[in-house]
Parts: sequence; C-alpha cells; structure tokens
Amino acid sequence: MRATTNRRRSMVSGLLVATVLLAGAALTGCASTVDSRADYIMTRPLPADVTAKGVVLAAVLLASGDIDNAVGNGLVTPAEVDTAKTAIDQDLLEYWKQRAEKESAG
Amino acid sequence: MKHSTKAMVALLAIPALSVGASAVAAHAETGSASSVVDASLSTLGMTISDPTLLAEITSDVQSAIDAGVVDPTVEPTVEPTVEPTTEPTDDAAHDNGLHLGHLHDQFDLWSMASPMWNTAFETIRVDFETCVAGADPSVDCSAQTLTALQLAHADVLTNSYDELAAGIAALPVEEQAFAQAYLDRQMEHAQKRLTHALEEYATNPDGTSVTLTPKILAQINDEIVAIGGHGHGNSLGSHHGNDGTSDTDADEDSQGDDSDTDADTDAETSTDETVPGDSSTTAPTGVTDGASDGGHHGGNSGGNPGGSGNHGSHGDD
Repeated sequence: MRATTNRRRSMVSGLLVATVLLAGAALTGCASTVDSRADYIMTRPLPADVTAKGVVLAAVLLASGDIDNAVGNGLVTPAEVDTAKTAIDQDLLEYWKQRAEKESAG
Repeated sequence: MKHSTKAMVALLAIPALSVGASAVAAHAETGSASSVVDASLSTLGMTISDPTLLAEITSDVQSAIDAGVVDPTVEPTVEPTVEPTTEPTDDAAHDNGLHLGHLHDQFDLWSMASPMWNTAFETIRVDFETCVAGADPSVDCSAQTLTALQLAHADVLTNSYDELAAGIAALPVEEQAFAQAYLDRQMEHAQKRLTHALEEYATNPDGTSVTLTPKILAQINDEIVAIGGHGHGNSLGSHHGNDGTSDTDADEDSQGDDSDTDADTDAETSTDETVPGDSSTTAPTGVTDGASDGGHHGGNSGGNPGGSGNHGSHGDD
C-alpha cells in the first residue's frame, strides 16, 4: 500500500515537474517569438529588392502618400511595401528602423 | 497588367473616396518634406534618431513630393471616411495609438495592388537584367526600367478608367466631384510622365541613339493615345458631368520634376517566404550582381534600374 502511494506521489511529482517545465518552455517560446523576429529582421540577408531604409521609406509613404504612385515612380519596390505593411501590422517596424539606422551608420 | 482591371477599380476608388473626401490642408503652412516625415513618423509611432537616416528619408520624401507621390498639404493622420475593407492582421497598430485613416486606405490599396505590382515588377526585373547582360553602352537600362514602371502604372489607369468612372458615378453626389478630380489628376499625371519619357529618352541630347527599344516607344505612344482618350475634360463631360470639380494644381506642378524621378529601384523582386512579420524573406530569383549593385548608386548607366535618381537605395544585400 505504501509502495503504491509512493509511486503515485512520484508520478504526481513527475507530472508537476513536467507541467512546470512545459509551461516554462511555452512562456519562453512566447517571449522569444518577438525577440527571434527582431533578430531575424536585424541580421538576415535581405533580398536584392529590399533594403531596411526602403522598408522605412515605404512605411512613411504608406502613412503620407500614394503608395501605388510611389512604386510607379520607382521610389520603393513592391517587396519593400509588402514588408513595410506587414511590419506595421505586426508592430515590427521599429526593428526595420533599427536595421536601417545600423546600416546607415555602417 | 491588363488582368487586374477589377482590382484596380477598387484600388483607385478607395483612395479617391477616403483620402480625398476628408483630407485637409492641415499642415500646408509647414508642407515641407521634413514636416511630412515628422507627421508620418508620428503616425507610425516611431522616431528616427540617426541624423543620416533621417536626412536620407527626408530627401526621399522630397523626391516623392516632387513626383506627386506625396501631397505635402495633406495631413497624413486624417480619419477615414470609408471603413477599410481589410482590417490589419492584429491590433498592435491600434494599441500604439496610430491614426490609421490614410494608412488604412493605403493598406487597402496595397492589398489589392501588391499582386499586380509584384507580377509587373518581375517582368520589369527580367527585362532589366536582360538589358544589363546585353551591356550595350547605347542603351540606358535605368531609363528603360523607370519608363517600364511608369508604363505599368499608366496601363493600369488606362484600362481601369471606365470602370473607375462607373464606380464614381455610384458614389454619393457630394463625393463624386472629388473622386472624379482625383482620378483625372492621376490620368493627367500618367500622361505627363509618359510624354516626358517619350521626349526625354527617345533621342539622346546629342541626337544619337534611341535609348528605348522600339517596343517600349510604341507602348508609350499607345498609352499616351489611350490616356488622351480619357482626358480630363472629356471624361467629366461624357461620364458624369462633374464639371464643377476644380482640379488642384499641387500635383500638376509637381510633374515638372519628372525628369528627376529616375529612382534607383531595383528591377528585382522576391517571393514571400511566409515568415510572419516579414514579407520579404526570400532571396530574389535570378538576381544578378549587376542588377543589385545598380540599385545603389546614381547615374543613368546600365545596371542602375530606375536610374539616376535621388531616391531610395534599394538592391543591396
């Protein structure tokens, strides 16, 4: 009987540990999602038709101009507008700005 | 480009309705590139601390003003008068306190335009690479690329005009005048650009070689003729009789700088890697070094798609 109880306690403890570990992993995963996106934006090689400055400019033109006209005049590329739009949507524009500033300084 | 007429109806109708109906000359007195940048960054909830980057962005926005892309008299944070058809994918922007009137309009605009533009851009990119690979010193690849972009834009407008006009006719009467004026200004701009392209690039200043291919020249001529058929006066009278609309001069004046709009857009494109938060995550297909490098620097030599301009510096990496 005591052996059974000990096994149960052991199982419950194991489950608790596993639960805590899983929860921790999940929380870490959530926290790292934004960080990993930021790292990705800040460090990855960009396609040839995208620059960080172009993304920031596209965002500015989305906020103040006629974006179709902007592409038609060669001010920004379609890929930069796509990226800027997604970045604004997902609150990631700051990282593009940081990359642009880094590249501008470099 | 001709396949997207329906999309373009909505594409052009939305800004015509929403931007125009509510936009006011809120900062006309400070309508400089700098003030536009400041207002836009405020809208985006962002600041740029690096003076070099800020100067570059401001310079690019000035180019956008010169090209009629940005009207410096229009407040970028106006509230929308038409509900956006596509909501942002999350509420982060709202949480940031952004004023999404114009931004939403442009989001809607771009949601419809993006596939069309990416397709067109891919074609232009291939043409540019072919041009660069040809290494013909008498051919200005940058000029060709910019002209191709302008052709694409004009093509959309031309092919969409009748449907756009019909859409405007369905608007409330009080909105028709502005919308029609907006559309007609777009058409006029396109015609001016194409006319300029024809004049500027058909013959070199020294009267020697033609920098555009006969095919492109023929396309320009066709587009000019087509746009002319939808001329401002004709369209207002024949379509809707909104003659009371007065065209503003702001955009027209800006066209005087068309010769300077040889932007350095890369004639390259990328495909979506579907990584959340980043739509430009794949390497472009078939990008040549020459094409890539060309996007950075001034000069109208081959290898610099879009050309001699002062605008963005795309194409690195």
